[in-house]
Amino acid sequence: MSNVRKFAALNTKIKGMVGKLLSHEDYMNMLKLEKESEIFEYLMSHTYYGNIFNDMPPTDYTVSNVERQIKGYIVSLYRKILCYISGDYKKLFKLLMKRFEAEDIKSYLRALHLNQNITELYKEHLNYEVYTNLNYKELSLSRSMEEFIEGLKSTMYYKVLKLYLSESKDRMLFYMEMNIDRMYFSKLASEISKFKGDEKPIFEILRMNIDFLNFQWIYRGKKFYKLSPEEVLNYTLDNGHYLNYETLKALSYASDEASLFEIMEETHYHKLFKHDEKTERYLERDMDRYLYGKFLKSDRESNLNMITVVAFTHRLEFEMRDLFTIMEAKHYGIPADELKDYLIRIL
Amino acid sequence: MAIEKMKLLNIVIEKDKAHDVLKDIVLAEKIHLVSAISEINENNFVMKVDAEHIEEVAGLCLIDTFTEKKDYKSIQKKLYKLMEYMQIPKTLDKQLIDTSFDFIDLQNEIDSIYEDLSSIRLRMQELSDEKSQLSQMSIIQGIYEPGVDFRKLFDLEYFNIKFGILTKDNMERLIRNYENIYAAVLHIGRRGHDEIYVVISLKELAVETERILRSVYFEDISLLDEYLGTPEEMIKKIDERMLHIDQELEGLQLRSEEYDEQYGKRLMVCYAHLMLEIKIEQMKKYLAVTSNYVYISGWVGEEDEDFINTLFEPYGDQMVIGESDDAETVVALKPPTKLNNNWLFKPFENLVHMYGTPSYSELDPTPFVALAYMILFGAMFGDLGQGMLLVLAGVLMTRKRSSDYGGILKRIGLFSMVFGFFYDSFFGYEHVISKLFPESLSEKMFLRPIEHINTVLILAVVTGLIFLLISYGYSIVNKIKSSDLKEGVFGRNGVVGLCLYLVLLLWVGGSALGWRWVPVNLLKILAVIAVVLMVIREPLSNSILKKRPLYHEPASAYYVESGFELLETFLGMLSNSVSFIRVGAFALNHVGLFMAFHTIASLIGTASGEVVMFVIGNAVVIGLEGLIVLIQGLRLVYYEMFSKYYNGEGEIFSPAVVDDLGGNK
Repeated sequence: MSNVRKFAALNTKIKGMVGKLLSHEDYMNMLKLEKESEIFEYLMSHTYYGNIFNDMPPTDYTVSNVERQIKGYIVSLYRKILCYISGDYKKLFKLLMKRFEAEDIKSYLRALHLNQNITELYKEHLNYEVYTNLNYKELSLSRSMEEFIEGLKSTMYYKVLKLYLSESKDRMLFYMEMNIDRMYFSKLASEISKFKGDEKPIFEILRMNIDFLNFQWIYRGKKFYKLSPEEVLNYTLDNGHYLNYETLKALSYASDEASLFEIMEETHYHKLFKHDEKTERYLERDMDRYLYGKFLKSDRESNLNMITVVAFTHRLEFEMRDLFTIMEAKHYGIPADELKDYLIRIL
Repeated sequence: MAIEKMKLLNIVIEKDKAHDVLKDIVLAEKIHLVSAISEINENNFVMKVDAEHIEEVAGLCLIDTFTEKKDYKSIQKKLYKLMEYMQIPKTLDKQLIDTSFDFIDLQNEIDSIYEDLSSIRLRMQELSDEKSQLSQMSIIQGIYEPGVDFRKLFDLEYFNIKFGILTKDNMERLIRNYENIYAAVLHIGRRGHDEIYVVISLKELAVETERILRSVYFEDISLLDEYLGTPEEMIKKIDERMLHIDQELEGLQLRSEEYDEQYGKRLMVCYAHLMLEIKIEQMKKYLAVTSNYVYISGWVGEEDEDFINTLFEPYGDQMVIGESDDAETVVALKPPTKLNNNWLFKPFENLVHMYGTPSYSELDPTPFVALAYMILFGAMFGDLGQGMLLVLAGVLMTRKRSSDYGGILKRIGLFSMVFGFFYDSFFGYEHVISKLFPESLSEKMFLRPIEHINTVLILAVVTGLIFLLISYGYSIVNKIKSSDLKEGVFGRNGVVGLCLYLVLLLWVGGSALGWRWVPVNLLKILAVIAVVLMVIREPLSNSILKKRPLYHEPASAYYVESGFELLETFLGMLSNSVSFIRVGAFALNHVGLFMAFHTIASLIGTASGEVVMFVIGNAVVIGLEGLIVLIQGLRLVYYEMFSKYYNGEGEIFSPAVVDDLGGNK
């Protein structure tokens, strides 16, 4: 009964929002189009996204503007959902929203790392006051990494980011981005482990996500940044689902890439890691597809709990990323058949 | 007891006097400023024109907004900081404002105090930083080994030594992979929540070790070079320095306290003046300026005329004042509304504003609202004891926070007491009050709702009818005042509507009570006439006023709409009247709820049970029913009465006053 009270209205609201997601036909139709401007037109006239572009003058239809608008729209959906959640769930949902903050901080750091002027960058983040207490406008007045990180003094990121300011320039960004993710996910993992509701399936998926992140860090840390095994191991996250500490340790101390994949083939995820030419190229996509499938499945099987929300927010994110991929691909004239392979949605 | 008469004041003054005039205006707290530019543009800016003022008038064609703006942000920041240092609450005390002060002097004063004090504060900060670093160094007490020279320890050829803090989780991480780490990590103590470790590693592997330590977020504790030596020496040095720092800090603390004493009051004065200056700056947006003159427009109540005249007397000839006080012109200019009610009705102005401020030419509904609300509440929630509690709560509330709402609570509580007396109800116990009176008297004096259910319900409806009739009266006056012939005379809330309502009442009442003298046939004819007049009210009023076109929409559409409106009118008359039955119902309900608690109490059967039930019962009734009745009363006032006669489209009169921006109330 208590779940009806907590989730009935919320799930109805979510159902309504799910109806506004893109359909299979939408994807197929967009694949056929030639230019990115046609994609905008299609979104405008055939999908719900039309409503969010309404107040944009047609001259503003550039990939970056449209992306910003879509991100802002998604945040506005989060804001709506937030009104329907209470108690511990609200805390959890707010934590999920903090993901945006982490991503934003990463984008600021990236721009600063490239010595770009970030004065106007805050305009890229529409509705940011929904998910963060940081004053982006003030932060974007920073002229250097040091200054920017000082501005984060009140956040959990400050202490750690400061440690990496002395790192060499080519590695600094990797370390910072990884540590931001690490802090976010370790916080998420510890929150999740406290939950006692019947949302177990969804937490399993989130923990699988942690597995994938761990693998990606080990892979990149070893391949591109030549980190020492001890260091790599220390950066991995606890609370993974199938990759336990021993596996992570084995991965960290693996002698080369091939043995990384060999170790992964012994795990639950063996299907994803059959080592051939395509595996590496599509690894990230395959991981996303795997999670996407899991989210859909648990959503179907769930009934009046938080799963619907978490699954929806992830579907939304996957759709956004697919949309951006499509727009970019059309911009660079990549043929439809090839483009299909880069999308998370299986067509 | 009405809406105060207003007049528009137009002032022209030389530019350099503008600041003084604005200061006078804001301190007077009696003038509602409006944009002078728009007044001039709409040709409402009335002035006496004679030869000596020709220059002021000529300037009118070259008006502009006031652009010279002073920025008080930095001084505001400094002052706030100072007040924070000295822990002075940022509260506005208008008594401290002295019109003879020049703000620039105060500004300089703030600057100099700030400079002195902030240098002291800065030094204090430095010292306490050093202190915390030194106290971190006192970890060496945990590894006390007499005679070991730390200088040598940090000077080893092949090894690096580091002290620092590791969290438990991260230490665990290290231990799990300890076999692969080329460093010795030893626990040497604890300080508060922090676990302190010493790390000994090979110099050759310095970079790797550094990275690993960073990956577990190892927090370095650095030992300052000048303190290195044997632990005995170090501890001695640290202690000496600490003592020195403490002494200096104490001295600085004393000095800063001196500042508090010396300047504390002065800063309050500065704060008040800063608020004044900021307000004056904000007021400038209402001004119009030419190269030499400033134009100010504002509304004042007519009764403040003398006050204003004395206020501006010192300016003499330098100031030109024009007034628009011709009643018709004033109404056309849509002045703000200043309600002026006596002490009994005043708090209820809030209820009126909550719905909407009356416009200048409307009747002030406050007295009616106040009476109606007090009576309705009292009738629904009549209890001598509980009313007393409400009055008490009102008194407390007035003292603590909101005096208006407290005032309302006091008044409705009083009415609850009056009704409670006649209902013979004291904290839910009936027949208590009546015992104080001789039986012959108490027979006639009291009306216990539960014993006279029908009487109470009928009385409720009759009271409602009276309120509705008064509402009709207000509606007719309001509409006639705004010369709305169509609605005022022929409308459903106008004269014709009132006639129809009275006719229907008489008809229904007559047939229900069997009054023979009621001329039914005449009433029928009158009703038909009223209905016809209401249906054709637009063409009728337009032809009387000789306005064309007769209909503002196609005639067919007009009549269909009128037909539906007629239906709604009849339904409304019925539902509005019956609606008041709830007043009686709640009076009964009030008693009924108590009967339930009495029954429970008698089931328990003990004295303590009775007491508990008495307390719970009263709490529930006051909390729950009190709230419901509060809302129902409001609903009757807003929905049944206001919807008849009240528009509430006016603007509230808000004179320029100094605002307290500090936020500490």
